[in-house]
Amino acid sequence: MKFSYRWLKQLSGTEKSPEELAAFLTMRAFEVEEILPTGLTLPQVIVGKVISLERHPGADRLQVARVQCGSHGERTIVCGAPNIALSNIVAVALPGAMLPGDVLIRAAEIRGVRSEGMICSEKELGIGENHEGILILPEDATLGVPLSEFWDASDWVLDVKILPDRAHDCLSHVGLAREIAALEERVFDYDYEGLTLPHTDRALPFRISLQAEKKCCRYIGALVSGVTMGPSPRWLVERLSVFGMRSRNCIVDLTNLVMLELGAPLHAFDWEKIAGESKKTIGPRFTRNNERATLLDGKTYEFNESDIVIADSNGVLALAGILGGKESAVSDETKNVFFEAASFDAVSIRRTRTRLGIETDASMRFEKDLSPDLPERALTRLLELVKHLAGGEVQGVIDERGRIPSPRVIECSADRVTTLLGADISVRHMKKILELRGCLVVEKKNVLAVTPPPFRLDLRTIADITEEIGRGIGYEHILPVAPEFSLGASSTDPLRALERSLRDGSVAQGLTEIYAYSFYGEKEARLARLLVERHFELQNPMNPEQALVRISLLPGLLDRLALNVRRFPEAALFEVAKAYEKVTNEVREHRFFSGVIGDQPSSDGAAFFEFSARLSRILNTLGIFHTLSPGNFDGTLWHPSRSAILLDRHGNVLGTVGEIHPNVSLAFRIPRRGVAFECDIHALLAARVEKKIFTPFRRLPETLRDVSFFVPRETRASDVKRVIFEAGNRLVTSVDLFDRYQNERGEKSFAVHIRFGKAEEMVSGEEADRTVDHIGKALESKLGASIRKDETGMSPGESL
Amino acid sequence: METNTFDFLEKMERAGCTAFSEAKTLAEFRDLEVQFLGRKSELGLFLKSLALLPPEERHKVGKRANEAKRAITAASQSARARLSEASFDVKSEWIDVTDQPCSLPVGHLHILTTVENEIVDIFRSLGFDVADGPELETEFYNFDALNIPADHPARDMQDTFWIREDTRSSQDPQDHRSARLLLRTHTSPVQVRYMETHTPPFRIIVPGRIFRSEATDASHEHTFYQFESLFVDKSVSVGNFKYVAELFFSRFFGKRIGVRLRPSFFPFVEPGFEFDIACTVCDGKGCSSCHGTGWLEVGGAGMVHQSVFEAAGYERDRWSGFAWGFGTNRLAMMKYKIPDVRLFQSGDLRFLNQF
Repeated sequence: MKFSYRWLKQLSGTEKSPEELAAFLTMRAFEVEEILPTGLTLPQVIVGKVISLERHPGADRLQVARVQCGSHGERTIVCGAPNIALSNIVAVALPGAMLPGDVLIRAAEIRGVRSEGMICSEKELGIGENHEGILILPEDATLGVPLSEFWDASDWVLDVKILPDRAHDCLSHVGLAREIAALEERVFDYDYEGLTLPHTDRALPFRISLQAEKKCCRYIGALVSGVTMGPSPRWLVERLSVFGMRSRNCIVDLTNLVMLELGAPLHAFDWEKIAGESKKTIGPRFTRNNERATLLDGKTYEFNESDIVIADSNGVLALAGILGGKESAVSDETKNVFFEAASFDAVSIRRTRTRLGIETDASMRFEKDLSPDLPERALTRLLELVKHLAGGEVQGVIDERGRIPSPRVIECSADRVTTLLGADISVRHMKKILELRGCLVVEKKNVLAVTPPPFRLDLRTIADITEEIGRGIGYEHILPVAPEFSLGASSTDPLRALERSLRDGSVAQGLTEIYAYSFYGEKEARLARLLVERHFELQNPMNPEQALVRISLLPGLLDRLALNVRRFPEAALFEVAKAYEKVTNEVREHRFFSGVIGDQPSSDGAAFFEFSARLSRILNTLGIFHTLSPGNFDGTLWHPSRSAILLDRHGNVLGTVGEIHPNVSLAFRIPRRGVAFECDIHALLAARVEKKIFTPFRRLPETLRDVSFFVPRETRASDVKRVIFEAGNRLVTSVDLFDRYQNERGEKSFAVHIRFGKAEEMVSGEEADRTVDHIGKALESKLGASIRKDETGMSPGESL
Repeated sequence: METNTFDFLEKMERAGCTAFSEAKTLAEFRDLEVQFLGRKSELGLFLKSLALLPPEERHKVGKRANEAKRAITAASQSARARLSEASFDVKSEWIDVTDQPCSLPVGHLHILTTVENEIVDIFRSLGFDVADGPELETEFYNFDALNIPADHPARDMQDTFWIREDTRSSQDPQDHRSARLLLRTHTSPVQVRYMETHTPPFRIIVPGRIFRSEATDASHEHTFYQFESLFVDKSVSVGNFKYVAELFFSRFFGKRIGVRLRPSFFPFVEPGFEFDIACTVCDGKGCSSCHGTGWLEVGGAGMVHQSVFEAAGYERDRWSGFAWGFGTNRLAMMKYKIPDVRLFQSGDLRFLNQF
């Protein structure tokens, strides 16, 4: 909220400059976000002294003054003010001065006498409402100095971020001034308690109907007859303009002024517009089905049953706590005014204003939950000001109340406060701090019984009292203290530890980590061939490209790869992150480790082997042993014949590694081919061999045989190994595929080292040869292999 | 006989040493080894014959014979070293060592990962555990359980990404906690989740990704990272928080960093603070980074609200604790002088490769 520094200063009695006050409030109460100088600086208006005064030769009502203006010399000025006298100290606007309202002062002949400036009234200077005569300054003023130096007409607007828990009492000048005085340890002398409503015994021509009592616990109406409507005086117009409020008429302006002063929104109705004869009925009630009304903003709104309106016997007069009705508003013709001060339910106001999209100064305050005490004080103050500015007579006041919560008492142990703050504060000091804030404090054996003042709705618990005391002494006075706690070693989350290892391992393999957004658009999901219906959709996305919550990290990685690949052809990216999938309308959280590499020069599949080898090194290093297995990738973003499922030793799926389908690469604008992987980190953790146990070295040497053979082109290495193990009669300890090539005729050749071993004895040459024969036959029959008998086909037996 | 024997040994020793020192090639060297040190060399045969001598003489002659053998052996060893060295023409094996034709690609951790690791390591050294929670949260954990009920003005402080209403988290129909889904606006829901399954005393940190629906510019992102820390024990104080915060920031920036608290409000703490650290650029003297104030706004903190403890099933007023959170992005920007918050999510290698 914007505050007037001058007004705060006047109310609180602070001696601080605007900057000092802003810094003080920021450290002790609320952050001041901005200080804006405002008001009048009045250059070219200086202090002068009337040294001679003569009647104007050509006009009875004018006088000709000689004015001593210090360094600006003596001036002759024609003046019409009745109160001017010899030796007066006055404000002189020199030629060239610009007065409020864009009035430019020039030297001019006035009925034959040349006038070199103007002697100003308060009103002409814009610093007051008096325009009957000129402004007379104190006698000790220095002649010739600028008026602004001496008569401080300037102000500063402080934009203060009132915290939500204090909005109910500090969105007003009295509220903030009270806080300032308390923080400066001075008693605040604004007579809040003294603002009590006038009492009348006479019969009044209205009654208050409190129908929606749960939503409005207090409604006060006051009828003032015979007011003089008209424009507001200048000071009021200008005070309101500081807060960006447009002046309407003196009655409406005063309700606004009191709201700024005390924080309670008030409303004025034209009494004649309220329906009823001798006894008018007025008050808050729930709306009836599809009731409509045109409000002050000129728009017509339709209400629903949970909205509260102020109504007479005919219908809606105003939308309670938010905006007045157009019909019932006061106008220049208004003679009798009905004033409203009330206490509305914060949640109702908030719901209604959110739904209807009307945010006003009133709703902004009511939705913060104002004290039921406030309407009485504010209305009293308003009636006082109305009488002063608009005259009229208060016919009477009716104060209708529902259940108003009684004051709380907070029992608060002084020890608890010092323990929570970690600072030593005496009970006496605590008591003083609380009393300065309007609390009633009774101390008994180190326990404070605190009754907060009615305007402090936020003080409910010991913690709240502790905060008041903490701010009272200033947090800078709380010194750092090492905590005392029982020693305990921090535990390690294995999932987090694995994620860290995967990141480090990836970097060691030349991959660079990215953080992509958790969203993409429906278009990206479709391009990546992901099921759109598996995605959670944002209700309020920043834009359509960020409307879906990701179920895979791959669209983000592919998108970022495309961004980088021209500048960094070898770019290899990875991400470790969470993803959320909608599975039969429930949330499934995934933790993925995914990577991508692009723009590989050849399309012969070498990129797949290179990248999957990097992935395997990362995983094997961490004890995540795995194999690659073919799968069905139809309809996915994976290349159907160049992708593999990663399986652990037990056949559990760990993830996928493969080329990106060429058409998907194209859609993501990746030149040539992309290769990617996506692994489920939970699965990786489950597959990880955590604890490795020493295996004794083999005592007996193994027997080695090499075999090479041709196989059909689509024979898989995994099948070759499986057949060899199966046919190996349990003698095969390892199979190492050490050579593969394809000749010009398209025949594919594999060469393998096969090792044979038994636990208790050596495998003899003959036994090994027999087994190799058997393996050869199995390869021929099961895989259509043909064993090569050339010099590389069989190697001589060799013991290792 | 004795004189002759000694002469013989003397001559043998000299001949051997000279021959080895004059040897020109490794082949010649190997011949000399056979000739002077082999089992069938003169010296070798002589040593063998010692056994035939009477003990007294054997002792004297033997001593001298062994001396001769040691001398020849020493000469042979230095000859071997000399000849072996000369056998490689290392000069002709010149290569350009300034070139790196086999350089491997270099990978990079994201700077936020590096910063998160630094932060986690500091806290773990102080005995904090790391806790984790979902990014797709329910309204209950993100707001209600943190003392931010629906229609509370505090909800306006955090612009929320909501998930379309047709989907909800699964739950027991008896459970009246709001299962409406959203993207968490802070890491604080993890406080509640952690407290549901743990009892004090404890010390945890919660790093994680959070979301706010606000327009992006150089200092605002809708996706960013936060650190949350929660310390609950019998008598934890504001002073303790100041201590831990100063300790942490001093370790993180590698120099002494002061912390100051300003009043603030978060519904799940009371008292609540904003906390600032002494400007890391000017050490608190005032500069353009801190707009001349000497302080940088870093995060929010406060003493855990007893209602939050109550919601977790703890007895009221039995425990006290502080909670604080700060932006990981912001710390990274300060420490590594990163000017624009959007760079973190950009995925641009020109940025990523710098760290």
